Amino acid sequence: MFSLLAIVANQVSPRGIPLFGKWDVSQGIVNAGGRCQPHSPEINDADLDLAYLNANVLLIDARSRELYREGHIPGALSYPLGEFQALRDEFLALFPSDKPIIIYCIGLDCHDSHDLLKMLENSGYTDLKVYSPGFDGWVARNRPVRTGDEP
Amino acid sequence: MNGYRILEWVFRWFSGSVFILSSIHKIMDPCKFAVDIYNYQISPHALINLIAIVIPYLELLLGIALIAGILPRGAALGITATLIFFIILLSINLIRGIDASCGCFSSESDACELLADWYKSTHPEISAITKARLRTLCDIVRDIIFLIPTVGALILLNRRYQQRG
Repeated sequence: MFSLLAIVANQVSPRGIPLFGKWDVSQGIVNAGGRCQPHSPEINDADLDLAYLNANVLLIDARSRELYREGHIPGALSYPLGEFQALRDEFLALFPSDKPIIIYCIGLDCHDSHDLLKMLENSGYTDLKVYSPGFDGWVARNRPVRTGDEP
Repeated sequence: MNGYRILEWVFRWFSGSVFILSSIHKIMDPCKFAVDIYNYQISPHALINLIAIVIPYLELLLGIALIAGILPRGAALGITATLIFFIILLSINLIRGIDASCGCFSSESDACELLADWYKSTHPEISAITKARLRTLCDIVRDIIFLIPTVGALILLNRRYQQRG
């Protein structure tokens, strides 16, 4: 009875979620479905490989500094989601708003790259994409990895 | 009002308030709470959304019932059971080394998140996994601390109901 009341309250709430989510990682990024679904423009492995050859593309690692040090995609800059607010001014001064930017985090069960994309979008950046397979997807394809603080 | 009644009142208000506060951000952001449940890696995928919908309203109901004195023993028992459930879940995650926020409070105000960040800043040599374990351990200790007034309220409520006969 109580569960039914909770479900009804959820259904009428503007912040409500569907009864079933998208939790199968093989079907794309996991989320609770409905309005929880990220609408970020995403790219796949092949797109990233192409973009990787373009020196103008900026690759951003949205994971924590510790994870970045333990291994990251060579060339990627570390801008952890939790630190971006503090680093925003520095970022705006360094990169023009039309700079093509690709963001990644851990993988398909990580939302930080999508959240960082929204923050960058709100800061005026226009050419933004998320590499959804993330660092896990990169490693799974035996692509090179760099450790330490250097991009 | 004697000392026991005052203590019972304090315990009920503390536990009830904690549960109401912890339920609000989950009701406001069920998308994030559902991801937190997914990260626990213990629930069948088909049940994740249902759990994310029901648990926050259950917490809110238990918190209000305990403060308002509506079936207070049942409410205190429910809060105790919920806290023990979360302590067991977090302990399992700690042992398995899973990096998952407990989802108990909003991440902006999570003291354990801040504590883990501070420890990492003073001990940069620790790994991301160690930091995650530290945060989980802090979540467990916090839930155990919250358990004390809840069990206290339960004991005092039982005592009062027994005296009443």
